[in-house]
Amino acid sequence: MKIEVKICMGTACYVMGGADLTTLADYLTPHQAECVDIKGIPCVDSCFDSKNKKPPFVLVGDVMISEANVNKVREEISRQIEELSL
Amino acid sequence: MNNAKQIRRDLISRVARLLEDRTLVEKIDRLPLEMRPRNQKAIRCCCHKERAVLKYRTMALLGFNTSDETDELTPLSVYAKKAEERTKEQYTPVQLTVVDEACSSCVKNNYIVSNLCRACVARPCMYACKKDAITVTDKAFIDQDKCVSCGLCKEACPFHAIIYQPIPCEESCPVGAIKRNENGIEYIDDSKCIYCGKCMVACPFGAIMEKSFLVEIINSIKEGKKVVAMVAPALAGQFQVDMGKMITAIKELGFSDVIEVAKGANETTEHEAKEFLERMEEGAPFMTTSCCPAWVNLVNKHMPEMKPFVSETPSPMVYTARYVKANMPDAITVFVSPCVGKRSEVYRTPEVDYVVSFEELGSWFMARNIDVMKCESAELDTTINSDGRRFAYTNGVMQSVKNYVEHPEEIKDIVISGLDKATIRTLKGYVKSCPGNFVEVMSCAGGCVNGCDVIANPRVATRQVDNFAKSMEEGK
Ligand code: SF4
Ligand code: SF4
Ligand code: FES
Repeated sequence: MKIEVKICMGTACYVMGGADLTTLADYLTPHQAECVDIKGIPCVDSCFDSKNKKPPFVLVGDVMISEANVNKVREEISRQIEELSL
Repeated sequence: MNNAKQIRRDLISRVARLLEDRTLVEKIDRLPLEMRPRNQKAIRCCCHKERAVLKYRTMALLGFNTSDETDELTPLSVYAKKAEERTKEQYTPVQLTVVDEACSSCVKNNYIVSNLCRACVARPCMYACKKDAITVTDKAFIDQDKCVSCGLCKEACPFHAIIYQPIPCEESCPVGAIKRNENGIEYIDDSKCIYCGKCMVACPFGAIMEKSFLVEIINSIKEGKKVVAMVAPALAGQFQVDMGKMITAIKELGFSDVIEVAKGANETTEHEAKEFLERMEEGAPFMTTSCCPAWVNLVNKHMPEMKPFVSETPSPMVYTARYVKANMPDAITVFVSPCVGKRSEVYRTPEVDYVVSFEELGSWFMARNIDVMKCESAELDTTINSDGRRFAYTNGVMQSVKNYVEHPEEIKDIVISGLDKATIRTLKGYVKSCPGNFVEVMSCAGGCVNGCDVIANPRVATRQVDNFAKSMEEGK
């Protein structure tokens, strides 16, 4: 089983930092990289109703990360790897 | 990405939204308050400081230098009104402005004493200092008013207790154009600045801003004028979509036409190649490219002896603009740019009216909720030779010229990818003796995909531009 990492590539997310996440795979350990399936997805519509949450948005499994950056995403990945004991 | 950049993009998109709604003058004064509400935790000392910074950043977005301010109480709405009434003739050549409120005046001098200092008996630092700036009590102390940042004390300390603290913007400037004034605030000496944009990227406080044309561009579109976007080749790598979608997205902003500057790059190639052969025939030792404005600025301001060797062929942007003006004389031409350097070139190019940077374009899409991924693919210009599309990255111009000439083996190429103090020294040496005969110079390491206003990771962008160029070749 792989953890799905979906990076929002909609305009707001992309411009506000999502562009940096296109190289996410380069920052993962070999084990982490094996456990995830990374893909870019179109706007998940969170940018419109963001009350306190801000783009970029990334979905790791079903956990939505706002103001995502490489570090935050990596942390969540390793948390889930541990939780699922992958 | 960093926080300073995020704030800038948020701000650009808010200004664009007000312009789109035609409520700029009416609502601009509230903008800093909306972005920094009183109850939000401040990153700087307090929300008032942050609002002041936002005010001056907004001034730059309205096309003013911070130094244009004569009275601190003048509200943004007054500048907004002035911007809306401004004519092209009133524009000043200075394209970068230091937001002095934002400049943290990092350090006055570069040398500081760390707590590794043992207050040793020998006190070599004190004796090394020629300016009598050091006293030692329980620890060495440098009198910041006397210190001249010579570094002799650092060399002298056996404990390595004195450290060099860089000033990011000054460190990044290849020509020493950005300096501290008597208050410790940075300022840019326009007679030296080559508009490479490196200081803007380097400043961790986002204190250096480009002057923008957003007001002119969006208002022209709103007034129903014919506005044509000329997109730099590097744009092909900026979003995770193909160029066709990009063009549709730009048209949705209200541009009546979108033209790839790769088209003009084909013309640059042709003329550049001819010029090169002519010069060689005349016995010139070498020739350099001229499409990077920061390089041309460097020659004009710091290396006059290089001038005779720089190609006189106009840049791809200029050829593209001439084409547009010839075919649509009433069109307003807007160059979609990777860098601030191009703003300085536009200032001396009558065919190009305005510039919008990649970053501004992205923020403007955001303001309009245009999702580039969901746009339809527009038709592309199949008459363009894809070599022109490769001008986006280093070696692109060189390769294009090589592909054009009959005897590419006669070109002895040198490619300078990125201007810094070392490469500038190398280039100066070429005037006396050059190991090649054709020199390509790009101010940004890697080429325009790494310009100061790009959105995408340069490596990813390079790959994408290349794939696009290839796909267009195969399509033929
Ligand atoms: S734009 Fe370049 S030349 Fe001008 S001050 Fe900044 S770093 Fe120096
Ligand atoms: S290399 Fe390209 S992006 Fe960089 S300053 Fe020159 S023209 Fe601008
Ligand atoms: S762009 Fe990412 S949620 Fe809309």
